[in-house]
Amino acid sequence: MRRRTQAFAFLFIVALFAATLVGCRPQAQTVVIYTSVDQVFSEPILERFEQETGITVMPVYDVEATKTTGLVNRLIAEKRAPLADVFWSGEFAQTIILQEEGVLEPYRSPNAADLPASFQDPQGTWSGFAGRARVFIVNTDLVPEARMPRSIHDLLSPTWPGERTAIAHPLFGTTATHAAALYATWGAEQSRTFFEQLLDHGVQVVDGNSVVRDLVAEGQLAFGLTDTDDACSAVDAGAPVAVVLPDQAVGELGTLIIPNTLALIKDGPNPHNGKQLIDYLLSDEVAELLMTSGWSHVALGETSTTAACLDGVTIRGMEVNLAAVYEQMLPSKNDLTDLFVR
Amino acid sequence: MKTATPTRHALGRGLLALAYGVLVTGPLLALAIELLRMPPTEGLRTLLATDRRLALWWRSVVLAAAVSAGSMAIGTLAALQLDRWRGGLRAVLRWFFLLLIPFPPMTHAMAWSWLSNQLNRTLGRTGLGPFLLRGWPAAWWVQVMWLAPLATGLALVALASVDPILIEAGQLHQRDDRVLARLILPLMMPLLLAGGGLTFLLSLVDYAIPSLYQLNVYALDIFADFSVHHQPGRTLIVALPLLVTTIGTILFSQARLRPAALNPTRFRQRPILPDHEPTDSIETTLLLILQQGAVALLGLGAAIPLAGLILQLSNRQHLRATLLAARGDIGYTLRVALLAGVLSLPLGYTAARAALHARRGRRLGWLAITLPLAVPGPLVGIGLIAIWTRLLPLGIYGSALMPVLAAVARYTGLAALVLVASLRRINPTLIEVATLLQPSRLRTWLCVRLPMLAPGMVAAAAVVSCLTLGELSATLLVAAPGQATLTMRIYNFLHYGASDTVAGLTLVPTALVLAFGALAVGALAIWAHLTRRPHTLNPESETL
Repeated sequence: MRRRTQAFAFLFIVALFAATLVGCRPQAQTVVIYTSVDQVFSEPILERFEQETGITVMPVYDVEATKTTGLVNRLIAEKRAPLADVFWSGEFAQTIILQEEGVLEPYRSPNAADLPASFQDPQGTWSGFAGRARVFIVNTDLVPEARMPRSIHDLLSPTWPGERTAIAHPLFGTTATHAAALYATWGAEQSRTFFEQLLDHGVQVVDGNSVVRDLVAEGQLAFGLTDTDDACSAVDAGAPVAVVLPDQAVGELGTLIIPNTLALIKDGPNPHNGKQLIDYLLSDEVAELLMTSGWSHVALGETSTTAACLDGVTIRGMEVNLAAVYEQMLPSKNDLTDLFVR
Repeated sequence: MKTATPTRHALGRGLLALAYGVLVTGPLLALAIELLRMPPTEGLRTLLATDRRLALWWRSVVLAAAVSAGSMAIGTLAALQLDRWRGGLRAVLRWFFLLLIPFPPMTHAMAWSWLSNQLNRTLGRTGLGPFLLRGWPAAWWVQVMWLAPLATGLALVALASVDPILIEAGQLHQRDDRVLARLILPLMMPLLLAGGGLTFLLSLVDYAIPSLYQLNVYALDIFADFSVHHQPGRTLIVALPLLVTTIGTILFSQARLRPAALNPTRFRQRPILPDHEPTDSIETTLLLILQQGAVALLGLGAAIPLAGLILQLSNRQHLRATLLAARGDIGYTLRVALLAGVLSLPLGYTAARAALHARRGRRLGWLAITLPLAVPGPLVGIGLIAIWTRLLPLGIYGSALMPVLAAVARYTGLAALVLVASLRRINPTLIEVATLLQPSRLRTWLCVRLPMLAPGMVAAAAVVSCLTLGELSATLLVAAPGQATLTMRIYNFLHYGASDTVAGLTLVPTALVLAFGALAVGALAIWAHLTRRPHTLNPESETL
């Protein structure tokens, strides 16, 4: 009998323990945000929103290691019973996927009125702000100023053996978006040829943009293509690197500017608080905070000026429509899977 | 009363089987429902293997086989040497190697990359070109280093199943190297093959290490497809070749395990191979060198990750600040890991019993154990969302319990495999005698069966808890808003490049893994001490 009591006591303790976990639910004045922006950049801003409004922010952060299969797939799976109110993406293609899947609710924030129309959804389903750009990170110990790469075509230059240069896997993250932008600009045939040439030249295809940064900063590679936040973090850390904006001369392609995007989730549990958070994140105050913290380096306006890491120059962006880029995501990924995953 | 008890017993077992069905195989079933929504032609088109996929699958199988062979060779040789370490500090060190079994693969990958960077800095200063850690050799080496402690543990178990009387008889007539080749290895072989199956499986489903070293494997293609199409059902079809390979491997290794059931693990006071002077013969000397080399490699595989983590810490204040900032995540992660370990026990036990003893549905039991092990983590997460939002909307989804359920779904199969090995070592005659003498089934279970199963249960719970500490891909999809596990925080900082913060945070699960392992080993040692009496009908041997 004593043993039986002990067994029941054990089960009771386990159940109680489980109940404490089930009981950990959001409080009344809350807003739930899913974000692919690095926690180190987004967390201080969300905490500031909490302090200013008294609304508790419950975030879920994505990580690079899940190869962009994380929060977007979670939002699609949760479509019938959403937990999130706001989606804050570090780029735009994943947000348009959610729009196509019917996960998002249109909301035109008053703070989005001054942002360029080319970075807004015409139906008001999402708003683009705080840009990043695709850049070269170059090891200054290995590459003298005169031989710095100036164009993405320099990845094919015989000056640099492919094994000393790198791109991230073009099926995932912003490199996939960049590839889709090339498909939208050049067409499928020319783009495929370009990527075939990259492979033939032996350009390294590494696990992510942060890996490109690390390999260049450590001197294992001469230069590589990455995002401004990765490249500038290496500059801030004192690594012997320079950041180069590719294809900036007149008549050249320009580089891809990738805006952050914000969207309201359809049938989210706290729509009012969600809208309030979107308004806050689209404010000038947050745009400046993102620039100073090192997440965003391109102010989106009539002309796209850059942060100190890029010497404050005006950036020449690729002349490509975001919707057109999105349309090329599936065909380009299918094409590049055949090329790069073999 | 006599008739009511079996009914109640059957009801209890039925409920546990139902719980297993929902919690462990449920996500897979939910994905299968998703599959039904796909047009059959699209499903068929996806299923038909392209040349590219076939080549990827073949490369993955070859890599996994090479990793399995390498890690089991190191593990077997090291086990023969560690078997001799039976006193003082060396006895403690023997366990230290085994405590590194649950280290997550990324810890090893980060450590070896760190070492390669240090080496390249030195080479750079001397004007030499960089040493590039990439491709086949790098992926193979890091995976072998990751799996070598596990292989050593499995080889030690295999060694313990060898009857020492047979070896002593053999050593009267032959040299050690011949006794090893003709007697010890054949006797260890069933369990070594089972271990080879497990290491093969772990290598096969891992894409993180090969991807880091620029080697494409089939597991990466599954993620690529998921990121392109966002259709879990379709991705399940893409994953089918890996599922089939996994099931085949586990069933094969389990078939090899059956003869081992007759040879319970023995407690030996002396090593199986004596410490000979290395002058006996060239072959014996060579064997001894190989064994010591394997232990050295094992030591290297342990030292590099630990040294890498410690040396990357910038200072003590930063470590303190990092840990203080993450204390909420650490506490939550610990609760999740402990609860997952505890919950996996009754479920794993139910599956293990079904796989071994069920009159009908034994194969179903094996399938229920093996299939969930091969499902990629993100698909488990998607399956869990489908279950707890659509099929069973009980308010659990969105709670902090979801990461526990994710871990239970992913790792209970492993707990069941550990418990299968444990159940095989129970002498059925003892249970039959106890059933005749004890007044109730519950008392028989608590007083006879549970004490015999306790070491296996401690080991199973420790394995699940340790693996839960490093789980990311499924947890990320189901974690409650506002609550992150430590692994989620680590990977977030990893992208940012804060190596000292990442090192500080990674030390926490490392310490927790060592603590869980030490607790499990301590519990097993105390248990062995308290119950050092024969559990088998063989009066000449003591069993653990």
